[in-house]
Amino acid sequence: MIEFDGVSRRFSNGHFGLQDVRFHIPEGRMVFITGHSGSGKSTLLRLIPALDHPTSGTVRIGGHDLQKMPKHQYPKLRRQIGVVFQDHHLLPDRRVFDNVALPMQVAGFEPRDIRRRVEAALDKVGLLARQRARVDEISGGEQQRVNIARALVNRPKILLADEPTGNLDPELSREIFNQFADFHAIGVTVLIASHDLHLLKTFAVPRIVLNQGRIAQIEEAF
Amino acid sequence: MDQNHSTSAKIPSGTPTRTARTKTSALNAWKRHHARCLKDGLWHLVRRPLSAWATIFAIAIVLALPGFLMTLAAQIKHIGGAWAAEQGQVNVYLKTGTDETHVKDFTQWLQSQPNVRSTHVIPPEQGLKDLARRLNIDSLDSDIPNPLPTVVVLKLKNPTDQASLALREEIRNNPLVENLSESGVWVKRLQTISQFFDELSWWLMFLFGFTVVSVIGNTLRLELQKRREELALIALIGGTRRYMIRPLLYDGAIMGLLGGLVASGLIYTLLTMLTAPINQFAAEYGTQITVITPMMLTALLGLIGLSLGWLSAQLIGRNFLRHAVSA
Repeated sequence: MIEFDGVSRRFSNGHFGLQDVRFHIPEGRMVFITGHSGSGKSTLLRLIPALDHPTSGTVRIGGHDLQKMPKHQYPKLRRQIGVVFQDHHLLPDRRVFDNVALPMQVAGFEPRDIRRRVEAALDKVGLLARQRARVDEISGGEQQRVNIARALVNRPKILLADEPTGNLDPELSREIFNQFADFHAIGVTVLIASHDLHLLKTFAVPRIVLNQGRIAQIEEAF
Repeated sequence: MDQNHSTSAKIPSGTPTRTARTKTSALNAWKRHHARCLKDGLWHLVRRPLSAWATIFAIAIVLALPGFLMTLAAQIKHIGGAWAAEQGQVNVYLKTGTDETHVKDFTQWLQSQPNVRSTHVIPPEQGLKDLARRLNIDSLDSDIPNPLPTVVVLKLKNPTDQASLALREEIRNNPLVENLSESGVWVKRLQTISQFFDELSWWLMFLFGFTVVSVIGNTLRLELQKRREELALIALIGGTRRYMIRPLLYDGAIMGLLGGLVASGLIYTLLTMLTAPINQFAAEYGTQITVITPMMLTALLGLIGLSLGWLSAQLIGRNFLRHAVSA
């Protein structure tokens, strides 16, 4: 499903974000990417929806080489990938409902389908009652759950999460990880980048450990 | 462990799953998005009235100047046409002593010309009688030979067009012709002035078009800066460039269209104010200016404004997306 073959990413200042990274994640697996701050976790995740491109090596998603993929096909690829950010990337002046509905509007769904699925997604993350609230009126934890609902509303094949619990307390962090695990259980391929080793160790999930852009260790075979 | 928790999780009905999407046709989605962009574009005029209307008035002023010159050129043509219509009668003085056969041939040749409405020959004898009548003299008969030439009074169909001017030239060069009462030189001058204004206004429209593109572009660029995060997000969740740029195209086109309409209103107001002095001038040439609602001008300026707004949004939007958003 997700294959990195000798992938390196060198920035314009000469610094390597990633160096010779190789792994293969089969469809429907859940994997943690871990490492210290600056180890290359976010750089790795950005390569998957083609938000960034490797300097060398090959990234394949579902068998498609992203370097050979025409740019006009990126939107189609991205509609199959849900992304959860640490800093939410929500539209603060819009309602919770509108934020979650955005990926479906972009994909051109019927308004009645959008309503049905957005409400189901909000129900799943426990925010159905808050759907009319503006995003800047809800708490950080609620904002992160809106973020998750938005990532999942389009029924993606892959879910990427970059430090999804960075701003949250341990209890809420665990609840959110459990929600990711729920989606993994129904066949979604999940990649979560986090430096919270304590939390990650409570889940029996394979881990790719990055250090200075290189894979330092792969814990548990997958 | 928690892995067991996840595998046993029950997903409630309606929760996102990887089942087939109930996506409607692309055409319906496309139409829906256009409708929403139009609605949002109009809503911006209400939500941010100061910036939107400041831009619209700037566009209007920039478009009004060449538009006014165009209208002025049309009025000059109108005055010139009325004046020249008076000159539609041309008296052709033939050389003294031209015999009747030549006069007849010449008259027949004139009648065969498509721009000639009618001809009337005044022989020298008739001319002498007319002169005597005007002078209230019974008779001018004398031993002195009649000095008057044969005169052909010629009425032209379109005295201001190029063919009529060419015909005048041809008549003047005819060996039988001594002189013409009107050579068309003023008609030519008026036409040149009118053409100059016409060309000047088109050049100005072209030049000021760039100004309009810049004015709209700057407004849209500021709007894009505000929406940078939203556009980055839309790119991330699978929005195409066209999807991202569409609201901008509507904003640009609406501002351009309204700018064009306001410009035509300004021109109409200016013309109304200038009607009295211009009509004083025009009355001397037997015509007057009628200030009517300039429908053609409104449509033309509206179309030009709309096109320039759309073009500006395309240029600014594409450039912004290329540099600022990973689309």
